[in-house]
Amino acid sequence: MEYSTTDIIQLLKQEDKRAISIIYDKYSAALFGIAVKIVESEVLAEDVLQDAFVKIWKNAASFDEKKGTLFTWLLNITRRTALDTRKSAAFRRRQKIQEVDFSVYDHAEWRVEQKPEHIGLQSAVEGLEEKYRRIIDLVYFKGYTQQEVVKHLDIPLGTVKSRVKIGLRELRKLFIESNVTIWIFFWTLLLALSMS
Amino acid sequence: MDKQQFLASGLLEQYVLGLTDQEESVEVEKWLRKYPDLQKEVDAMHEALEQYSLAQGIKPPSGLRSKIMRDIEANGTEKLLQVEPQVSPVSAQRSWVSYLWPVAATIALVFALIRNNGLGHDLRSTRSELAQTQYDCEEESRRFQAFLQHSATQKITLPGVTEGSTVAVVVYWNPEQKLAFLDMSTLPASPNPKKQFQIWADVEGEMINLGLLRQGESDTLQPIAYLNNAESLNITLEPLGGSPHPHVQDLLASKPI
Repeated sequence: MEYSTTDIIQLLKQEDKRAISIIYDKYSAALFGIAVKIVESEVLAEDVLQDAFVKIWKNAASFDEKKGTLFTWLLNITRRTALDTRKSAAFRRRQKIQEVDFSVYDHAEWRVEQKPEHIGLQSAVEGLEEKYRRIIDLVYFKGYTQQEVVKHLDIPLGTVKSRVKIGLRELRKLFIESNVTIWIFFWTLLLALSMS
Repeated sequence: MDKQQFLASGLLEQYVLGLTDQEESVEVEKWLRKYPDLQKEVDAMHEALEQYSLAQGIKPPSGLRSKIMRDIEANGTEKLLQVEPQVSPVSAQRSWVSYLWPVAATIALVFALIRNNGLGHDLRSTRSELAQTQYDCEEESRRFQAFLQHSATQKITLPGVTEGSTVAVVVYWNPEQKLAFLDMSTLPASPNPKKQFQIWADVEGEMINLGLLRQGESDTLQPIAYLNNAESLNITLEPLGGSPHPHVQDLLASKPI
């Protein structure tokens, strides 16, 4: 059964554990992907996700939809947990527990199990120009401020700001309007079939 | 500023990505209230970002779901135990049992008096014990004072590792006397009743246990182990009773020496 965001929020507020399993089924891949981007290790990302879900559960009652969407809230908790882990990751590496080839996760072919409905989305991701993708990755997934992006990419603040603006507009076009186009196409096709 | 100028400013996109400061957010929210189509635009951008995240998702290992649900299960019962109100109906009917309480108390008192016919003696010994404890406390505080004022005592502040953390745990470290104390008033309370903080020294890449930090003793200096070749001090959150190796993902504070 597909639960709507409203259903999930209601369950969360009632501190109903089903909320967590629904959130897990719906968002764990997205959140895990973000955790892997930040901690650059699937093993560490597992710990991150585990901690993040406990935090999500503990703070369930404090979620406020007026302050932002459910996904943004989930992402913020996961991102914060991942950034904390990243800070202690150097500490962990000194213990020589594990060494991971960090470059592995930069390659799209390593992304596991593409659901069929995501294949179209994947091409939409690639539809976004690299320069915009980098900015959105840094800001949205890794929590960089604009100043930090300036430093990291060595480009002027004005350029960062305009790329944020255009990048997000492009993203909106790719993901939202393309869906609308598909729907219009689908309904037109259905209409055409029913008339013939 | 008109609507076109506002759109051209890019504030809306910055707002969606959480890049606006408080003042700018208030400004954007004013525009959103005024123009519902702008709010729709914001919703669409959020939706696009969500889709974008889903598209780049990685399916976590299959065992993780049950691990997380077990954690939630464990946390859930904790929550319930804390929240469950202690119901005691005040005006409940008194049963005959309640009339027995004064009788039982009287009998108990008589027994207690018979047993404690040496009450005066007990009182005197309690007094002398108290005096001894007071003396011990003064002695201890004198020793602490001397330690803190010692020329070789360094004050090491371990800053919290999370962003914006206000944690600053103070350790007094004396290489000459080979003594170390942690100022418990600077240690935050454990966020989880089933966990407590533990302090470690990094010695040539290995974490050596310096001691478990007691909870709820906020106004004392707790002795911790002193290590000559410690390169850094690190505090982690561990299950009650401590761990042989630190859980570094639960690092609270850290400082090189």
